[in-house]
Amino acid sequence: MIELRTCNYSKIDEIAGVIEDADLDSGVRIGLGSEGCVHKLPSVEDLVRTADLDCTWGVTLVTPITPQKHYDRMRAYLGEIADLGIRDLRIVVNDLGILHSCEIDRPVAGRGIVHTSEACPWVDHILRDESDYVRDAYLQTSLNYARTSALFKGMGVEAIEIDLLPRTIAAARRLTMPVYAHFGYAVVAYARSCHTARFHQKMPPECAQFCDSPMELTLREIFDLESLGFAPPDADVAEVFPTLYLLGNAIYMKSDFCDAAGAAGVIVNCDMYAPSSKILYEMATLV
Amino acid sequence: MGEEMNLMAPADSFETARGVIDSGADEIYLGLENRNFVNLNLSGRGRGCNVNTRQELVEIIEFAHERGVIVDYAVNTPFLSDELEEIFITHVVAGVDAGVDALIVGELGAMQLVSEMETGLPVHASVLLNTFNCGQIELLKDLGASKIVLPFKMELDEIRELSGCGIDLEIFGQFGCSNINGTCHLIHSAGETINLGIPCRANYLVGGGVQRVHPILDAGTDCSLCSIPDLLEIGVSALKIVGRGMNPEMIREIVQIYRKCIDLALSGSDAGAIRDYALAEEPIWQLLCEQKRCKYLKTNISDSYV
Repeated sequence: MIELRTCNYSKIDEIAGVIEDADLDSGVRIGLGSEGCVHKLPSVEDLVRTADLDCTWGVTLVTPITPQKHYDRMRAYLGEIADLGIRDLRIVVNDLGILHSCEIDRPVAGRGIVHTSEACPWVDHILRDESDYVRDAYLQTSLNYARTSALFKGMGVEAIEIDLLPRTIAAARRLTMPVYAHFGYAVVAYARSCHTARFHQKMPPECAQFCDSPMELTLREIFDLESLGFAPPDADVAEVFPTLYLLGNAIYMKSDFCDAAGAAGVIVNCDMYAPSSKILYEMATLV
Repeated sequence: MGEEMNLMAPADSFETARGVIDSGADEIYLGLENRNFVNLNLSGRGRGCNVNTRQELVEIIEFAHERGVIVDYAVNTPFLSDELEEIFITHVVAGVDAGVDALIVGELGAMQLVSEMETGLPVHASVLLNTFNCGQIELLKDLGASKIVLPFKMELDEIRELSGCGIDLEIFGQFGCSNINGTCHLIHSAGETINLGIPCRANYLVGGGVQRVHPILDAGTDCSLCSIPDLLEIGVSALKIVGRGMNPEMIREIVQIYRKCIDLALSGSDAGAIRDYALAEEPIWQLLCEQKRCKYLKTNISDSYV
């Protein structure tokens, strides 16, 4: 299964066109919504319209980390969605409070609540001196811990999403539930104070126009804790510090790893790519 | 106005513990080194940020208890596995046997495990659990939490609303992260031998059509002094100073300022009087005011909250 995901709902028709042109054997879903930003929830109309497209195997709704001031609205929204009975709807949850308090049919736990560590760009430096069993524990998903897995299952979780990174996916293969892997970009962090909104001095939700494509961030000066000032990164830091990509309130790093064997599906964030790119054709080689 | 907001300060040695207690902390939090790890730890912080030995932990607890100060034991590792569970249990028991007063837990399965251990101690849900709403508070209460450490970025109205959930709330007073703590992989102060600094406060070349060097990821909020009267009125149970592994002299001075400002608020001073006191006492505080790194006031950082 491939899922093409976006938060820019003006792209839905374009994505549908890409799917039709691709003529894939495998099923393709369209995913709508953000893991970290409540202002990017799709309208009910966009969700229904996408679910009705003939070219897809269904629609995925991604619900975000939900601060208290949006909590009631999110619950009401999910109640409205549930009442519609949209066929082949999959709901991804990135907030434990929403997962615990809302009746969601077979929810998928998203990257906002499934803890992994490999998306730390310098994780091998952090782990350089640790024993094998500490490394293994650190590099698995939080659901590899039986107690946490049981708690998630107790809340109805039937699948999880993770980054498509080599050691994370290897650990996820040991799980007894389906795993969907995010191709191309791993999440390094989410922020409550949206870095994109602040940079452009636009308050959410007026900042949405700046979320069409990611901004590339290259480290120029570290903030040195000793001097409490800026300093050029030394060679060791420059070697481990990757280019970061900022899209809305999420920070990503690129991953070239593409072995999704064992995953039930692969997710592509279309907002990280130009829609006319051949990303879907590349994806076809993975499934 | 509430009378019970504890000033909570970090400690990583007997000396730092004595410093913050003598400066007016009501409650301290600390982790303990564990020989199964080299740079990582089970305390949510890495090497150099924890008390070195169990004996030193016992001495800190004795010193604190003689002065009526509560000692919270940080076992808030964000990762745990079936293989590490026994090590974790032993580590928790080491603190319990030493006499700590509460446990800070940062992983959902660990929360359940600690509750089942029946230590008799209160369990605090760490900031690493990213508790943004009352739904999650209900979940954590079900798992045995008696206090919730809220995320670094919360609005006063949200704290007020969550204070009605029937559980103690702990919030951050001084310093803290730009990103959502439990989701951030820009890890630092974890025993690294390279100088990463604080990655979210670094300068980046913002590419694409922008081409500008900017600390674009810096959303650090550093101070809550002006909000103390509001936080007391809401009934927050603890105001936390971040700083395990940081300069102990600086932490002591910060604790002194917060102690005095909480006492001023309890005696009726408003935000303006508190701010004037802080600026007169520590002129360097003016830098924080100029940068508008206020935790709970309206700034361009809070304007950008999703």
